[in-house]
Amino acid sequence: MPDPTSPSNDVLRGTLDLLILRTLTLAPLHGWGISQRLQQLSRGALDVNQGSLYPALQRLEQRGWIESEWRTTENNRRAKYYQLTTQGRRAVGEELASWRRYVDVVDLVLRST
Amino acid sequence: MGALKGIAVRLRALLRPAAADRDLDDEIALHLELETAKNRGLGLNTLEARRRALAAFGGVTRVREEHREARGARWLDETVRDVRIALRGLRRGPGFAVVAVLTIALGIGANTAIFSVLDALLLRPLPYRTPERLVTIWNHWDGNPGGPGSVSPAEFFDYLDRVPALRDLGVYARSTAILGGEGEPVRLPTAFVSAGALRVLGVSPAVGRLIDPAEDVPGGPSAVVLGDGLWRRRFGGDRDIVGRRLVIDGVPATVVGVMPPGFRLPDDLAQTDAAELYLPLRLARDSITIRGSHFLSSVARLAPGTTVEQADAAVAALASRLTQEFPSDYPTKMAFGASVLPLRDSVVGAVRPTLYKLVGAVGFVLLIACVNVANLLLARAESRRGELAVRTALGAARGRLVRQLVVESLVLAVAGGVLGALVAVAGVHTLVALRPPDIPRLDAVSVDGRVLAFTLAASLLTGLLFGVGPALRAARPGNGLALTLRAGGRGAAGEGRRGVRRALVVSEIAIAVVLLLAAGLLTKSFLRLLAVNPGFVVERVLTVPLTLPAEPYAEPARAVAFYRELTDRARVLPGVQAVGAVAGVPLVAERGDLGLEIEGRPVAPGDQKPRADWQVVTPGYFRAIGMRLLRGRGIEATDGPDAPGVVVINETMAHRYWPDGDAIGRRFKLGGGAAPGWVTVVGVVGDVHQAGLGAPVEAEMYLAHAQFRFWGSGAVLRAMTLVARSDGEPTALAGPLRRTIAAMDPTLPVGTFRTMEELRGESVSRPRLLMLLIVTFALVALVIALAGIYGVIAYGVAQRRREFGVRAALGAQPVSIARLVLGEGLRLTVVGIALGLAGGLALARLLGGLLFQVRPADPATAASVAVAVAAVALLACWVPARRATRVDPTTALRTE
Repeated sequence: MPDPTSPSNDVLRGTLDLLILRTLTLAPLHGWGISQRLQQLSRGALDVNQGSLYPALQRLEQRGWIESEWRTTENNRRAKYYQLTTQGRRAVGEELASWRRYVDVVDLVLRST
Repeated sequence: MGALKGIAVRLRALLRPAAADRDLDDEIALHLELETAKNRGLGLNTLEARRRALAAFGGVTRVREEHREARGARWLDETVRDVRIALRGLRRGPGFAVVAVLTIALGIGANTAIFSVLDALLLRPLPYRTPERLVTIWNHWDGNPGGPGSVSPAEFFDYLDRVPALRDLGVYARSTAILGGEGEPVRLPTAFVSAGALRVLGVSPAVGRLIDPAEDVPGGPSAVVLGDGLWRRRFGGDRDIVGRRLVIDGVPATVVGVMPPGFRLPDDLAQTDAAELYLPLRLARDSITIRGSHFLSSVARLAPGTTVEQADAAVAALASRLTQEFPSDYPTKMAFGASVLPLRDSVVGAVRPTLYKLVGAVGFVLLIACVNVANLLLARAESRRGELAVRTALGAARGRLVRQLVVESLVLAVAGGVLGALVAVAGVHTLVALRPPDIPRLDAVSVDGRVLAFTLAASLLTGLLFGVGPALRAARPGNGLALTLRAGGRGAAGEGRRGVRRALVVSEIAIAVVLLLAAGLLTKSFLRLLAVNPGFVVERVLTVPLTLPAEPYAEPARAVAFYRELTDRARVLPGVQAVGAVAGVPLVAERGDLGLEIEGRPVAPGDQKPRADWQVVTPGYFRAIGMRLLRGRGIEATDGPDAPGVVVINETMAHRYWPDGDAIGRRFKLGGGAAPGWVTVVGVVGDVHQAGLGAPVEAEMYLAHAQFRFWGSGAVLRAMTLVARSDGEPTALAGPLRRTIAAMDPTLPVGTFRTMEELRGESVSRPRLLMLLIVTFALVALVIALAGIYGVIAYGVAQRRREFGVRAALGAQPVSIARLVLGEGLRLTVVGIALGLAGGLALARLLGGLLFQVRPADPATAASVAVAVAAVALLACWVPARRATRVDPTTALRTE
């Protein structure tokens, strides 16, 4: 049984998944690389524990959206690289569209009050 | 593709958790290292860089745990922990665990045993090549609903030549033959097969070859195929047996092959004595004119792309054409027809409805077991309310509690299932040891992997069935800490809770009543069956079947002389009161019938001829079996081959054709050219239940052994059963009779001596087995239901100790307290009985076909079941009631 989850946790988790997928659209990255890219893309505004990346990566891999492979870095270190699968690529598009719709709706509601 | 990989990832994580953990540790190490390096690049010292890296990462342990959870590993961990907790909990309450596990074991065991029978009989394919394409043809006509052995030789050739929907067709007939030559002569079950029959079944010989079509014609080369058992037993499994010449029925026959182990013809699947000799049937295409001699069983393979329905339509159409082509053989009123049905239906069709009823009954036993364990769990949950409340207060999620309780139920169910499998093995052994006849494929019944898989599935399902309800109830949010703790953890069993438990007990009693009602009806029906007067005196009669070999007894006069000599010699043996011989002994023998032409009563075209079943008897048979002679005389020694033809008829036949009571002296002619042509009725005997105690008595005629001639009558005359009436213990005659037979022909094999009482017992073995099984199930159900009502009442008494103490203190008499407790038990019982009788009467209609002279809605049976259940239920409540009267007011109040 997972811990009782509050709605904000769920939103965050869903968002984090989407953000991770987004960072991987350009090139395969290892875990630390993803965390750096996230910070870079959000200009440091996204403040999540870097550790929470890893369970998220595991979930995405089980869902078949990303796949992993052990490779050697430029500095000759063994690292696990993650990359999008075709299914994952499709999912990014869909998730992005639905996220935009969600944001639009929330925005609309907030503006009208 | 991605989804598949996802599953692979999941599986690897579950199967190799250590490797997955190591991978993650490597990833985290690298992450921290790179982050530290980055921080140092910003100018921090090593220690600070490392500290910040760790801070940004968050707790390493938590990440590991979340990662494991995402992998599904945590689920596994928790389940293992739940099982441990459950085992510990059950050890704490061993009484509860033992009762629950035993209850489940009884339910699962009974179900597994019946399932293993169902599996062997109905679910597994027949042991032939592509058995789903095999069919059989049943002919049917007025008075014969169809069955194996209903095709005549002429019809076989018609179906073979004129039905393209059947790719191949073969026929066979069971008989016995005497194997002589080397060693002791033995009488063996034998099958006469057309060459096509074995080809259709797709059997390959273990040694040599099968019957060749060239051998399956009149006058063809001699050939015999041995059964595997006979080959091993008598010939030591000698592979050089092919070409050996044996003597079968006095005629030489060459061995051409040996059947594979376990092979049985379809009809033999239901027999305890499968054929051990396979001889060519040798039907002659052109010399067969008699269409009315229906004795062949058929097996056919559907043509490719043909369905059973199409073949059925084709055969039915041909049968209808035959009635037009041969109107004298198939008169309109005979309503002759034919149908094709899957071979499996023919083999197991007769037992299928009975088996489904057994499955239903045994399902009730499992249901009652489930209800009882659910009841126990509810009681247990009540006593654990404190524990559950505290755990909830300490933050355990409701889901966790429910899961733990369900796991506990599953542990109980699986333990019950393991024990149940043992019960099933014992049950199946007992069942097979009882060797009920007429049950097909009994040797295939065993508790194997398939059956155990069923047991496991049944156990888990059972566990969920009885576990989920109580678990959800126990962990209900309303089951709050404050409420429970305020109540001191005692005495707060709400009326609602007790209501559920009472409802469960009521349903247990209702189910038990349903089963007891079925058991009562079947028992009553069986007793009625036994009480049927068979029409002869069963006691003190010994029988032994004899078959004279064709050589040197082929000439009818030889066979007649042999039996006359034998009965003459046996009659003077000490202890023998009367002796005779008959073609088929009553209660067990199959019947055949013949058309008649009654003198002075022409049959209008299209009308059905008068018919009667026939028997062949020697002088002395009526006295030996103990039949009543009502009018005229019996068959006498003077009724020889040259004397005028005589016949003795039974009362039913006399009433049917000579209702004015003037049968004696009338003449009729036997159909099908059977000698002696015209016969005169010389006597009328009382009716005998020839076809079984439960079967109606048909018109029957008794012909003289010395006079009987018919197509194929040589075999009839040679195969007779000797019947001897003793003045004491009938089995004492076996030795003298055996010596008498050996003195006449030492090469003659002697069959098994059976008393008529034994034969009567065997003739009702199927209804007896069904009755025994249902009675057993009903008693198990009753015991479980009694345990249930005892549990609820006893618990109620324990809960109300204080109340009883107060009542006693206020001067209540023990009798009134006992009445209070018994009254509650009685109320539950009465409601249960009422519901059970209502449901039982509705379901009893399903038993209709199995009941003999008992209507499903039998008030006497219903009343006895009701009274019996009420009585034993009160007895079960008596113990707690006594306990209630003995509550000592002072101790009861002091414990407060």
